[in-house]
Amino acid sequence: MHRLIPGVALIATLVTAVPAQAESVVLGPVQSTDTLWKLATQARPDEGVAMVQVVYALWQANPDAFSGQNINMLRAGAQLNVPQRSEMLATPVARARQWYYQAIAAKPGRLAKEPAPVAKQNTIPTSMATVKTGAAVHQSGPATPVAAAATPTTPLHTAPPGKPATSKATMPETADESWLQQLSRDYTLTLQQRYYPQQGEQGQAKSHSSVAFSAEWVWQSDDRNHQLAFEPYLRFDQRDSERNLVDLRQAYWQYAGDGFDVKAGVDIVFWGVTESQHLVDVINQTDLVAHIDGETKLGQPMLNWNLYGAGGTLSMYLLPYFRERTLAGAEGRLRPPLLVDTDQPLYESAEQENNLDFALRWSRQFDALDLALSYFEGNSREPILVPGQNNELQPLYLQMQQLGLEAQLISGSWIWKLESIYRKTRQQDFVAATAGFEYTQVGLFDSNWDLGWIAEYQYDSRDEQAPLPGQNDMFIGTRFVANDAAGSEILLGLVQDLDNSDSRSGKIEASMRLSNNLRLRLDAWFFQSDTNWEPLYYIRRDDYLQLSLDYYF
Amino acid sequence: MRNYLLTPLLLISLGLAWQPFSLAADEAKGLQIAKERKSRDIGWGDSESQTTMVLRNAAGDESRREMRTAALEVQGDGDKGLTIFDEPRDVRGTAFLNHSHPTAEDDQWLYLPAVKRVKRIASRNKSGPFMGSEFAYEDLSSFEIEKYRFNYLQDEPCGDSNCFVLEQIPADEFSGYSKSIAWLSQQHYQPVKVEYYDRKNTLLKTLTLQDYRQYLDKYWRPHKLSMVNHQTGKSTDLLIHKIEFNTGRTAADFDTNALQRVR
Repeated sequence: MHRLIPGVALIATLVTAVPAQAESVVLGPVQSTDTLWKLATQARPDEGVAMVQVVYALWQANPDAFSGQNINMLRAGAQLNVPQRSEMLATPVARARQWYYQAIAAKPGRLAKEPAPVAKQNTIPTSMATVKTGAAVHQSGPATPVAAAATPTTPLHTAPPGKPATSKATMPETADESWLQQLSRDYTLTLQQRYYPQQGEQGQAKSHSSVAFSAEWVWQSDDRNHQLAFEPYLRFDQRDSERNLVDLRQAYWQYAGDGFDVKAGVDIVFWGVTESQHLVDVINQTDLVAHIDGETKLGQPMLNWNLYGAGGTLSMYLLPYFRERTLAGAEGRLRPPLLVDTDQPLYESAEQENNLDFALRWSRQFDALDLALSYFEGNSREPILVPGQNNELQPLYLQMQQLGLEAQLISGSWIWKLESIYRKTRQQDFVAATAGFEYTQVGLFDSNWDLGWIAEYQYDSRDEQAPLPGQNDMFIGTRFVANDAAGSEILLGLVQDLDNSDSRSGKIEASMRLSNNLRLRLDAWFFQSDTNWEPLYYIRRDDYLQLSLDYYF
Repeated sequence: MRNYLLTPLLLISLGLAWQPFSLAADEAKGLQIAKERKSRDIGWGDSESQTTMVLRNAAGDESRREMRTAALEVQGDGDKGLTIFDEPRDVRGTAFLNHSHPTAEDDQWLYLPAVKRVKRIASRNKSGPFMGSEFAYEDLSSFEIEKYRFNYLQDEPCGDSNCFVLEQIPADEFSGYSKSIAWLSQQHYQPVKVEYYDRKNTLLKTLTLQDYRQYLDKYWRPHKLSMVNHQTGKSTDLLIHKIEFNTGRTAADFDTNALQRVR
């Protein structure tokens, strides 16, 4: 870990490197047809600066260009010094926006004219005349009542945002919104019924019902800088008590600044590009009993720091607490023949679940290519099952170091994908990879249907010793998307072991919307193997059909 | 190889040279009108809006979608857009990020809240339906001169004012259309009606754009867009409730890092 720090510092410098500032520029002289907004679009260096920041910086840097400091009264003939990009960014967007709305409230409408009311009151021939002379600057001062009232005493450069406001009634629309309006509340109730055509190897039941509930409360500050999220998740299973779960999927505070964000609390983080398995994705523990595909995760306590810039995104994670994998109990299906005693997990680390894990990831987009490199060290998310007492197995979590690579290339309707890891534990070190493509055909046979093809090869250097399928396997999948009002989709997938022709698994995932609040899902899996040391062999009787109904409220 | 290519190229250039003179003039006027349309819409900066989409099938059954969108004008490139879905509830929190480019393929990402995944998606084919509606992705993308060849056809009265009628032939070979005919109001150079022709050159859809309002003293935006599919009888209305300009959005809000924070 110590050796890493210089590396982190180096990458951090690369990521935050900013292009050199341009020379200062002058806009103008202001024409009668110009508006401040229009000039600001010319002055804006890039989209990294908000228009309101440009307007504010222009106003601040050119006090003499406005009659009575009023941004609605830009003087014709004035020349505007364009401030540096950094000066524009010095004022936070939210403050600049607030100032702008107050400032324009003084007189909404066109900006680039001498104050018409003044001209009328004083019966100066025409305001057009002064516009044309281009000498309007010299007319400020005692001659015009507005300027007399406002300018002489106030040093303009120190004027804070909001100062020029003349009306409190038109504050930015969101400023007075109640705290509650920024809080989103979403609840999901899921009823699930699984049916296994065969009784389990250990006599487990065929029919399993479960119910799950999740609540998600998210609050975001007005300027979108602060975010608080809280998402508890509860699950109750009719048969298998190991499938009962009380989890916190999210419970964090996040602050997003300029080019960085920090997060403290519990969250779920996804890394990866492939579809058939997720090798690189290592931050969160898998809630394996939720779904055999391993895509459901448990919340992970973390301190996370993301830094982004021209050099890509650098993410650092400190993971102070470890979550154990959920594994099926005695009455559960899809488990090894021997029972796993999850109450007695073993750890290599003396700190056990309190081991401080560490992760780092750098990612960057190069046009059509996305690349990411990652490093992780700490408790392995994947347990080894070792013989324990009472003829039971115990999960053992070793310490591991993992290097990960993700690459994705988009070429027309093709997306090429690669994920690879090198993982080292005290027991062994190995390389694993998933590589393949996704190809999408839109508007199949002149219909609205999309058809996607996914093919991925799965490799693991541990060969037959690998504790999972996917050591020399091929995944072929096809996804139909109806693009209808019900959002109907079907995904068919098949994994064929290339070493043992009798070992394969397959799945169907289909879903459709029943109403605005209801979605129906159908999942079916089959597992085949005659080879008794294949992981699939133990679950060969666990083919199942599952119906789920999600109710959102 | 070079010789084989040369002959058809020569034939094509001869063919182009032989086009009637009047057509060339119409193209020039078409391009001029399109440029005027674009130039009148430069400088809006950024905007946010709230939209309801009403989908109707041939039998008249309706379903609704609610979404929020943010857009950022990019000088010298296509605009950036962010769409956050609120309803139907099963897709709530899903976000679609688009960095459009006038001549190259757009960069597109989806944020899938259920798995907290930002997924980059292939964007070559823009003819697919947006959220099961009658709008294709390409119907909703920003207007860029480089995306079409223009032909001015005629002037025609439309509603209270007169319209320029323009034929637009997509430059993108992966467009779902052979052409579209747009009626641009001579008052504000924005379309009030567009007819889309499929690849077989038969009328596929008609879009009408109503309830134009002016923002920042300059920019006209429609608040009701109705797309009718003549071949299926289905239709979709886009109802825009609220547009705000100058909301302080910057490129950082249209970044994949921000996509994970979108609510």
